[in-house]
Amino acid sequence: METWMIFAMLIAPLIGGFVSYFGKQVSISSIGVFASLIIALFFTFSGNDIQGSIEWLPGYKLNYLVDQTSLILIALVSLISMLVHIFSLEYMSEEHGKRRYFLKLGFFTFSMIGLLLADHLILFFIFWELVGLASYLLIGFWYQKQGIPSAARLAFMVNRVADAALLAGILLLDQSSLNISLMDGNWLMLPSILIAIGAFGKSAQLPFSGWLTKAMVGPTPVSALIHAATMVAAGVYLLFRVSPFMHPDALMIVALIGTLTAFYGGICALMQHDIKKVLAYSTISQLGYMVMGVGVGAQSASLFHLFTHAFFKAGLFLGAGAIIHFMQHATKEDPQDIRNMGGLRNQLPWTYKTFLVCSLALAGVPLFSGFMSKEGIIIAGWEWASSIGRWAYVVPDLALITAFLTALYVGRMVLLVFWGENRIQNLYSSFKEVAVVRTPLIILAIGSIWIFYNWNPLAHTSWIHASIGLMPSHTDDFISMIVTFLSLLMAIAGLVLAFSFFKPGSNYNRSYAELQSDNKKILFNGFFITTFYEFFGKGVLRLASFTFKVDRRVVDGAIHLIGVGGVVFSKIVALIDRFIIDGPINLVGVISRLIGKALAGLSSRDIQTQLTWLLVGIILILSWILFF
Amino acid sequence: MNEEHLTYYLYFAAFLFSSGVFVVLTKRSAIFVLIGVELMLNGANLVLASFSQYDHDMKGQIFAIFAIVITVCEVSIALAILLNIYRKTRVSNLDELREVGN
Amino acid sequence: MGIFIQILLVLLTLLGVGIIVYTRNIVHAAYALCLALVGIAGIYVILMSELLAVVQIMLYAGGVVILLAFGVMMTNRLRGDKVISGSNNALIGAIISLSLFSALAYLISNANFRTANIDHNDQIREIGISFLTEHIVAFELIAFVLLVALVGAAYLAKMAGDE
Repeated sequence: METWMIFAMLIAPLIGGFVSYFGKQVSISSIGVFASLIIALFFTFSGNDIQGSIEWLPGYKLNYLVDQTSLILIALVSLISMLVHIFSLEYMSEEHGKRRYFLKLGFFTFSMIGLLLADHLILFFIFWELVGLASYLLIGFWYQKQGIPSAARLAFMVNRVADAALLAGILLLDQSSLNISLMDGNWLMLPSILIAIGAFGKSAQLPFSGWLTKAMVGPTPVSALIHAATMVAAGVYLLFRVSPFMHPDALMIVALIGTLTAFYGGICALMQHDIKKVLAYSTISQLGYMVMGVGVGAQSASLFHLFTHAFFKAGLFLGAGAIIHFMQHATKEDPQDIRNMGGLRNQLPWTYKTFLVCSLALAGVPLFSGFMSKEGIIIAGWEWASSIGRWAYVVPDLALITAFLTALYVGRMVLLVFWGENRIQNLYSSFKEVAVVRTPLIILAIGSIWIFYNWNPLAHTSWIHASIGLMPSHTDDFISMIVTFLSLLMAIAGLVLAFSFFKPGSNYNRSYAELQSDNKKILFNGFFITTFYEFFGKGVLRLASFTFKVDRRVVDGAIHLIGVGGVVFSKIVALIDRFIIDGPINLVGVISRLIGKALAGLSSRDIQTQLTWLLVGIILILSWILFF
Repeated sequence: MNEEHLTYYLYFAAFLFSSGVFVVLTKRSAIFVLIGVELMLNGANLVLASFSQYDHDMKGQIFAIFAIVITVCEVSIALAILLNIYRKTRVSNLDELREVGN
Repeated sequence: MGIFIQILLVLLTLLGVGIIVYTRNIVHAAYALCLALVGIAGIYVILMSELLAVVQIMLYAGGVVILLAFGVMMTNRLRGDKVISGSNNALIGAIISLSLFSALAYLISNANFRTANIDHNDQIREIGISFLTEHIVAFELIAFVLLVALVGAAYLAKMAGDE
């Protein structure tokens, strides 16, 4: 029964997608996701771990595991997926390929739930690749438009590089026990690093983070679901699962990479003009926090941040979707460019309110969820640093600076988009915040309020920690107090600085519309990381063509030489063969042919001749018996 | 009856058998070959009968009777087959039959 | 008297065999076979196998030879040809059969048979009893085989007649 329910939970979104693809109503697809959500909630409250296996090959079983962690995340994924489905009903209503779109969304949700169910690493890897494929398909949804297929391809290929590392890492492990829940002991350095690289690829950590900004060419609800809330968190989920077995040095590298990525994302987000790119860099930055949390040993805090981040970032992206839709109907200019916006709070009141709530959660302001989870990670980082030594304080320090940057760019974004005056004259749009747009935004905004996680707005723990059984072990109340104070300070400082810079009427705000984006600016282009990919790709191509030339000139030449030599040699051998060796053999052949002709009459004539020879044989046997 | 008589009959049986062999080997007609086979069988039966007179159980005679009955079966079937072949191919000589069979 | 009859019978048989070997006419050969078979039946009587002799005359002389004669009539005669059979490789046949005979004769002359005088009273009764007791299975089987052979022969001949 439970097995069937799990299977139904896995397959329901896919069925919904297919029904909406072949049926009349695309809204049916959200029912499939809703079914998954209900089943996941049912399992969550029934509270049992369920473990099972699929026999892939005789004797080779792929286990799946349904415990509280995966259930919470499945519920999260299906909830956000459902909200995105509902939002997309409006957002994609005018699209030609919306059936295809909903099928792809269903497929993605199916793959993501499968990934969360998997316990065996091979099974995990299969679904890992499936979500990568779903991501590729959805990024390239508008495949007819200029530049979108290549962006989708770039996102896909960068992921492939990391996935190759992940597969190599899996294959380097002890193959007899690839089930995560049954593992024990420590891995070696190399597989730990390779698997961490796989997670970095999916979670857009440095040096793979470039693909996430490229992925923003996809439909905005897709960005909310895949590239903010769920799929990019899969890397964090993988690290969460495997971190108990990872080599300590590898974990340290994970912590450093996460910190650097968080800082990188925060600083790049400051300079973007495209609202989706701001959010993309912000996602990279927040994922950096989560990865850092796993690296410093605060798995539960990372998972908590994953959960809260999914809510407020999905809310932000959906809000951005509403804004973009509004702008599309209002102007011919680039609908994603902040420079064309401004003063939208009058036109989009609901979007403004929910966007503000989610932004404050992202910025880490108390009373919102982001503060609690981020605080937990920074506290864990601080404790980790104090246990290691002086240089390790770079991790919590950078994390605090990033918190400041986060508040800064969030404040900038909100102020430039919603406050002040419209930068484009006579802004009128046919877009209305209808119920299917409003409802998901409101639900996501409500989910970003502190009360759903802990009654104390300054706490850094929640029921999530309790239900997965990993309470952070705090030895030092001083650290947690000082971190709470510092992060609060950072958030407020960032917001105040942002307000003083970008408040309505300030110089910057007024001249913002004329600001040119400089293609050479290092921060605007995210440290040229995608250029680096292209350069790297070209380098690989050049290397390949060089080796191809070497291959053709040197290796082929040598092979040809050997071949010609072989032919000459074999000609000589053939001559020897024909005259010296074949002679005696032919002689034997001629002799045996003569004998054969002589003897052929024995069997080929009529029955009486055969009888004659039979009797000759009998007589010979008889005489042999008689005379010898 | 003594041993010399037995020996004579055995010589006679061997002569019958050899004559049958000669007929089988040389004559071309299938029916002639059949006659040769009968001669060979009679030679063998004669041997059985001549040994049988020194036997309490007369196993030789009994065996000979069985052999005769089997021979009758054989001849009747062989003749039926020959008749059949002849009707179909108008051939009753063994060497021609070989070519026809192919 | 007994030895005279024996020689007479042997000569009769030899005559029949000689005709079979010599002649090219199949009908003649069939009659000569009849002669030889009757001679052999007489020899069976002298060998104190009366039942065998009776069976020989009834089955062979009466049945087989008539069958052969009919066979000859129904094959070669239908064409109106002479019932003549050619012969081939007579020399090789003669060599082989002579060497076979000499080998057998050598075997017989070298063998040392022990003989004993045994009184066979009421032979037919004893054979009948042993048919129905000791050799009952073989007896029943041979009866069955005979039946099947006759039916089969009739069927084959009918197949030929249908054409």
